[in-house]
Amino acid sequence: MKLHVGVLAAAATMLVAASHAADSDKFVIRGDAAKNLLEQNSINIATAEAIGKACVDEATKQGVRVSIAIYDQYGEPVYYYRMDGQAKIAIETAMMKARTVLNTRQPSKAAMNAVARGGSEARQIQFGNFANSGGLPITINGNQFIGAIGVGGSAPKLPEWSDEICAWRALNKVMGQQAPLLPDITPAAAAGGNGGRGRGAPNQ
Amino acid sequence: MRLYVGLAAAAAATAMIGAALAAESDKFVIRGDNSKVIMEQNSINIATAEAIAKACVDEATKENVRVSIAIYDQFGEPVYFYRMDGQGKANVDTSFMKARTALNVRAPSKTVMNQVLQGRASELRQYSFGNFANSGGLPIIVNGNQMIGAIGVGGSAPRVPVWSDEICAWRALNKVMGQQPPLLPDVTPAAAAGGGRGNGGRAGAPNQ
Repeated sequence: MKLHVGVLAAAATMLVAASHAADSDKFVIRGDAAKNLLEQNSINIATAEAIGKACVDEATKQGVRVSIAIYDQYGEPVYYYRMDGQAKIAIETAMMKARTVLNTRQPSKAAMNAVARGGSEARQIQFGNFANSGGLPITINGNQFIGAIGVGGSAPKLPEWSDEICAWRALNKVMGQQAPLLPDITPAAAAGGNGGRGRGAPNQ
Repeated sequence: MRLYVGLAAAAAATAMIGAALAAESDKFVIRGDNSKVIMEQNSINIATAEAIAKACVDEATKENVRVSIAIYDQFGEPVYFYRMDGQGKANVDTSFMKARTALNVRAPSKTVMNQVLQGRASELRQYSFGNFANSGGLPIIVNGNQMIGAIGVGGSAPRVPVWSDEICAWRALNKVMGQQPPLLPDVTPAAAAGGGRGNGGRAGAPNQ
């Protein structure tokens, strides 16, 4: 009997796996295109474009401009959209934020907060990270990374608006409910503290 | 009196052409507040870039092939990129390299390819310039002579004269920007021709 229960549990696991597979199929490259790449976990262009457009809609509602870069999980560009009127720095920061997410597999705000808490920004730069919010991982099935989005170009008006909020709302719309954003923290230097320099907490 | 008529006609004609040209640009480049912000009047706008890319995707879909499409503004800043599902790293990279080549030489990237194929230029020299000697990159032009950006298409196997990445880009530009100049000829490699050139297959023409 106990064995039977175990078998049932296995069946339940398979059911869960099947529902996860269906979730993936919507967002990643499948079929001939996936066979061509020998790869099952790359964000597809339909998803990338939908996220990009959802973010553009959010920016338009706010009356601001953004640039949006979407990479696959290897860092290859999948989709890029520069709203009219975006200057060079806005374009580059979009890519830098997405790159930071790929490096850390976390929102780029994690690197920003590490610096705000007194971590070394130079160390982050050495890692190729841009310590600024606006980059978010694109994940499916709870823990499979399929790509990253970086949004740059608009001035933050926290907590109502930021490049990161733009990306987050777009992901919520297209990918389903996302994890809450990391907290907005006050820089350690501004807080005064021991000589204005952090305590040397190890940067990752 | 004849002078007056001549002047008036010339002035009127010039003004009309000027107005017509301005109207054409306005459709394809960034205008209004957006152009004031960047202090620039000759950058391709996102609507145009997207329309060109989508036209190219449609062509590729009709051919049942996949492509990657990169569109830069005239400064080489990325404006739009679209990777069709199933494209590998080389396909993505070459689309950027072809657009970059068109920006460097302000001509189709096929000019560089043809120079190399015909022994008129060293591929290594072109590489040192940052050029990719392959077709598929085209300048995006308004008013006959103003470059507003460049498109690079990579990822599909050529079947000239029926299909190539360059034909994909060219058809898309024709659809969105109006009639484009004909594509450069597809040339036969000098080496394949047997090297009857008398100077070891090298023409020694100066590389640009």
